[in-house]
This record gives sequence, C-alpha cells and structure tokens, in this order.
Amino acid sequence: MQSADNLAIAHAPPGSPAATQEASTYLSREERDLLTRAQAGQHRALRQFYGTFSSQVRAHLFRLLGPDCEIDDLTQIVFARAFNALSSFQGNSTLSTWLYRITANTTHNLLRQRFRRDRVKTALSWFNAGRSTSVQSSRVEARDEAHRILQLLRPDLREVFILYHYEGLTLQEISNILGKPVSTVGDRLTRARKKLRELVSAA
Amino acid sequence: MTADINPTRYSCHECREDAELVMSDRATGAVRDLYQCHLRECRDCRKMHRLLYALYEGPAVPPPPAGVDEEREFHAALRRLNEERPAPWYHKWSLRAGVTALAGAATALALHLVTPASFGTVGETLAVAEQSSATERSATNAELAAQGGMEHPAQSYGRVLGGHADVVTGQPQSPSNTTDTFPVGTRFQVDAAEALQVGMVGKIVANFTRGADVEWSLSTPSLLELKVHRGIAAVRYDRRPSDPILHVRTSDAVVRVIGTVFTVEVDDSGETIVSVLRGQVEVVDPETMALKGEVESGDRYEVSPASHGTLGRIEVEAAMPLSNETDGESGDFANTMALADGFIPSSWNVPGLPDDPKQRTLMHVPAPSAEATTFEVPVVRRRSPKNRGNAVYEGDTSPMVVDDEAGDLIDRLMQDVKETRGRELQASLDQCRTLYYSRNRYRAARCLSTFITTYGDEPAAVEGHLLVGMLRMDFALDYRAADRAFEEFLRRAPRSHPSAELAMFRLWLSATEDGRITEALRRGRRYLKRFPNGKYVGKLLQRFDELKSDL
Repeated sequence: MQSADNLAIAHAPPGSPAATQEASTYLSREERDLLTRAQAGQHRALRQFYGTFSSQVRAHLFRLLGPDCEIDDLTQIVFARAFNALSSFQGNSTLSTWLYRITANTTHNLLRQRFRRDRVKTALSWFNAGRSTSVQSSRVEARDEAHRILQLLRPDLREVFILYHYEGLTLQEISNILGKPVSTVGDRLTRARKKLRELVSAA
Repeated sequence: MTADINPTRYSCHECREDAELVMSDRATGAVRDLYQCHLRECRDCRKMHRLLYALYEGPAVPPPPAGVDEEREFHAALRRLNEERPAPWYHKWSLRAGVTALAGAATALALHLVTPASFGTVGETLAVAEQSSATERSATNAELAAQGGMEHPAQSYGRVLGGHADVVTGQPQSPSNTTDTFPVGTRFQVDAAEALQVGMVGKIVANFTRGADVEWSLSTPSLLELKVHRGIAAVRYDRRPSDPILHVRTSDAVVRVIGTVFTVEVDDSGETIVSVLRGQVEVVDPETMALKGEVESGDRYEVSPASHGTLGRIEVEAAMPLSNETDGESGDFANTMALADGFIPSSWNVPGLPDDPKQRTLMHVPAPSAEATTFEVPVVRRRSPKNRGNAVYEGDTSPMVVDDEAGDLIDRLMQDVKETRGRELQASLDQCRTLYYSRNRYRAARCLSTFITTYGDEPAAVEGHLLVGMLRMDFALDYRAADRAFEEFLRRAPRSHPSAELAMFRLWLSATEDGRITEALRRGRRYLKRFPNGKYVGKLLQRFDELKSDL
C-alpha cells in the first residue's frame, strides 16, 4: 500500500490543480487561497501552511510513536514531502486528511521495523521478568502502561485505532488515508479493540 | 451482554466485555450501575478499567515547539526539500543511458578517425556537449541560489545605500572605484546629523541611526555578525533556507536572528534594548550563549533589567527605511513597491497602531514619552561628485563617500523630459525628484514605479526603468524584478546610451548579490568585453579574481 500511495502523492502529474481546487468541496476559500500561494512557492504561504498543520502532524506522530527523539526529524520529513507534493494535490480531500496520508506513508516502514524489533525485546523482557521477583509495574503510571500496551498492537491495527479514537476521523476518512476499503478499516478497528482488551486483561 | 443484568451473574468477564461501552457512553444506565458496582469490588477489574480508560483517552501530547524553535523546524523542513524530492523517473535509466551514450560516442569517434574529413563535426559535438554541461551546471547553481546560502566569496561584501558615515576600521583597498563597497571588518561611525543605510551580503538591509557606531565583524556561510557599540541599528533580514544566521552583538547581549525586522539599541549608558517589528529573536548571553529571553514582534526588551515593554515610535522610525518589503514574486512594479510609500507594512506588529492601512503611519504610532520626535527619516545619499574616485580606506579614519548614480540618473531623466515632453510628464517626475532628494528617499521608489507604469513607453522615460531597478534592488532586495528593469532599459535604450554601462554593471551586481554566481561571471565577462576601461572594472575585479584573465 504505502509505496504505491507514496508514488501517487509524489509523482502525480500536476495537471490543473487550480481548477480541481476550485471545484473541491473539501477546501474552504482560505485553504484554497493558501494552497494556491503555497503551490507558487511563496515562502510566507509555506510558513503559514506549516504553522497551521504542524501541531496536527506532530501530535499524530507522538501518538503513533510515543516519546521519541525521531519525532522532530519525522515532522520535518513529512513537511518536506508535503511541500514537494503540493503541486500534485488535487483537492480530493481536506488538507488535513492529505497530511495524515503523507504521515502514514512516512511512518509505515518505521512502525513495522520497530514492531518487529520490539517484539523480540518484549519476549526477552518477559523472560527476564519471569526470573526476577521484583516486578515494578505498580509504580508505572497508567498512562505509560497504556502507551506500552498500545505499542504492542500490530502497526496496521494501531494506526487505525489512533486515527479513529485519538484523531476523531471517520472510517471513510481513514479508508482514504490508508488506501484500504472501509470494510477492512472497520475490521481492523474491531480487531484492535479486541486485542487491546486482551492485552489489558493480561497486564 | 447488555441484556443480562442479573447482579449475581455480573462477573469479571461481563465487566470487561462492557468496559468499552461504558467508556464510550453507549451503555444503558443499568449496565453502567452494574459495571461501577463490580469495579468497587474487584481490584483486577479496577486496574483494567484504569488502563483501558488511559488507552482510550490517549497520551498527553507535549506542546509543539513555539517561537524560534518553531521557526528553526520550519527552516529545517525547507532544507530537506531537495533530499525528499522524489528522484525523476529517468534517473534509474541514466546509468544505462550514460553507458550507451559513451559506447555510441566511442563508436562515432572511431568512425570519424577513420574518415578525417569529419573532424569538424566531432569538435562541434564536443562543444555542444560542453555547452549542455555548462547549462546543467548553471541550472544547479540557480537551484542552489534559490535555496539561499553564500556559495562564493564575492557575496561577502556590503554596499552603502544611503547616508553618510566615517569608516573607522577596515582593510585597505587598492582600487579607487570601490567607494560604496565595503568588506567584513568595516566599522561605521554615523554622523550626528545623518543616518546610514547599508546592504550586506545581498540579503540584509540595515539602517544605522544618527550617531550610531556599528561594526560588521564576521561573515561566514553559517554566521553573520554585527557589533553595535552605540546607537540604534535597525535590520531587516528575510532569511532564505540555508542562509546564515545573524548575530547582533552588544557588550551585554547577543541577538540571534533567523528572519525578522528588528532594532538593537545601545543607549548612552551602554544598556542594550531590543525591539522586534516582525518575527522573533532570541537574546542570549554573550559569554555563555545561554538564553536570556525571547522577544516577539511588538515587544521591546531591555536586556539588563530583563524587562519587556512595547516598542514605540523611535524604533519604528529607525526601521521605516526597511519598509520596502516585497510580497511574492510579482513582476508588477506598482504592486510590489506598494509598501514603499511611507506606510508601515501590515506584517509589522506595532502595538497601538490602527489596522486601517491608511492610518498605518509613523504619526499614529504612540510615542513612548512626551519628548518631541522628528517624523522625518534621515535617509539621504550624499552626492559628492568632486570626491568620486577617492579611496575610502585611506587611513584609520576616513569619510565614506557614496557615488550617487541614481541621483545623476534622475537629473538626466529630468533633463530629457524637459527637452522632449510636455509639462505633465515633467510635473510627475518632478514630484519623484523632490522625494528622492528629501529625507524620505526610500519613498521615491513608489513614486517612480507609478511614473514608469504611466509613462514607461515614452522614449524620454527610459532611464526610469534603470532607476526603479536600482531602488528596487537596493531597498527591497528584489533582484529578479531589478534584473527585468535593467534588461528592459538595455532593450529600449540605444547602445550608445550614457547609462548603458551602469545598467550592465547593475545587472552583474544583482546576480552577484543574489548568489547566482555563474550568471554573475557571465554578466561580468560581458561587461568587461564591452567596457574594458569602464568605471566599474575595479568593483568587478574586487569580487571576482577569476575575471582578471578576461582583461
């Protein structure tokens, strides 16, 4: 999914974005104006675009990855990719949905790599915890524990859970962002909830 | 599960099944009661509830970076633009195509060696290849220049745009025609009666107010530094990605700038006061570089007592000569020069100033005290034709004299108009001329733009294009628009026009200051070819050693 969509965002022929934006019902007049100026490469418009959406991107990355030193880097990468792809934005979604899509594509591989790496770590830590008598879980804050549990979810389920519950997006919007059918998104959400219940019960 | 409400059968299993319904407020009252009741009795389920609640609530997101940090992140994203640009589709074929082309070239060469008559064609092919590679290099350079930065030492110079000052220190320069160009290390002591405006590295415009003592102490690709010893330095720096950071250093503070309009004042008692009109600056300790404070637009920060206040008329007045802000890349003179009309730009945050554009003048800025303030901005260029050609860096202290080419031009234009056209044209130009010689010289740009828009097609007004280009380049740092104006002048003016040399020199200077080095070299060579004994040869050679061989 991610590679094909990535290419779609980055390499879509410019066509006539202005015309499609005019017809777009997803963008307000201010957004259309901002987009037109940003597509022309105006520094101030890019700055305004960044100012409008940086907190959204950063918060989403934080929810996906947790406290992480790479969030700064990833935020910059997301915006650099967005600026590069501005000319190919067709106005078929809101700017915020489009940015979620770029964020999802940017973090896709990273999330999977980390999940595989953490699975081994978790297995090792459980092995060690079994041998050790002092388990310090009582000290751990519920929120940290919740974050730890969330990281145990498979990345595709986690992504859907976060977009639905934290970002407040609809199944249709998530379907657009991830490029998956709504039924698949709904199924992933159900599986994510079920898995979380299991993980919480086992914690 | 929700239908089953028998309290005796409501166990941990049911509780966990209902947890999500309760948290999302979709459970019935009865189920909620049972759920709560069970939680009170079951420790494990309480823990589960707490965890699940935290999960559905989501993590507390830390606040995003603000102020200078936010600016820094934005610029970092811009710097990454090229890295993240997807590789063109033809890149994966380029190696194969290169190998094929080399093989083809080798075959062709072998064939031509066999047939000696066709040597000329091979030479032409190689020339074309060289030319295309030069074009590619030029395109790459243009791309680099668009990203900012200082890629050539020729950019590390400043120019006096207006006013008068004594040069206290500076490296001695041999060419006699370098009167308005100064290198890093130059220290200005501005007259008590006049202000001085300078442009530095093609990116910064600064106004040093009357009595100021300011030194340009450092210039590297990553850092520029000004030292303010006394008085007010107003600076406008619209930094592009990869442009150097600017430090303004005083005895007790360093003002760190990413891109903004601001003033730094060192008052008579040596205290530093920083005021910001647009953007934000950081004030750091000069020794430890520890952050002392952040100053946002509209703020006036006194470093020693670390007190914040609102900026006032004095600071705005000092910054008014920097109000020629361009907006976008419009080629329309009238639009882009609209801000050079004595009004305070809407992007400047001046507390107490009305939003109505017509009232955004210095007069409406609340004065900090009852002291009398002059509303005139002392930005004049001293015309001293007698001193033209004198070396600037003659000794420890020598006067900085600026060639007023624009002043000469406007006089000549006036003469032409008088001779060839009616009163209407003359009256219009006379108004601009009056402005030009007034203390509000920077406002002449607006007037001249209107003049050109109205009378630009008149043969007598041809020098107006050159004049507008010069003002636009000096005060708005709008090099592309200036290029268009100079080219327009050269296209319209006869080849023997007395100002053709100035136009070609300015074309070269525009490319140099804008960092388009390949273009600057090409324009420099064109100038030297046409005017090998021209009056600006010294200035060209001062910045480009590589042009010496062209003489």
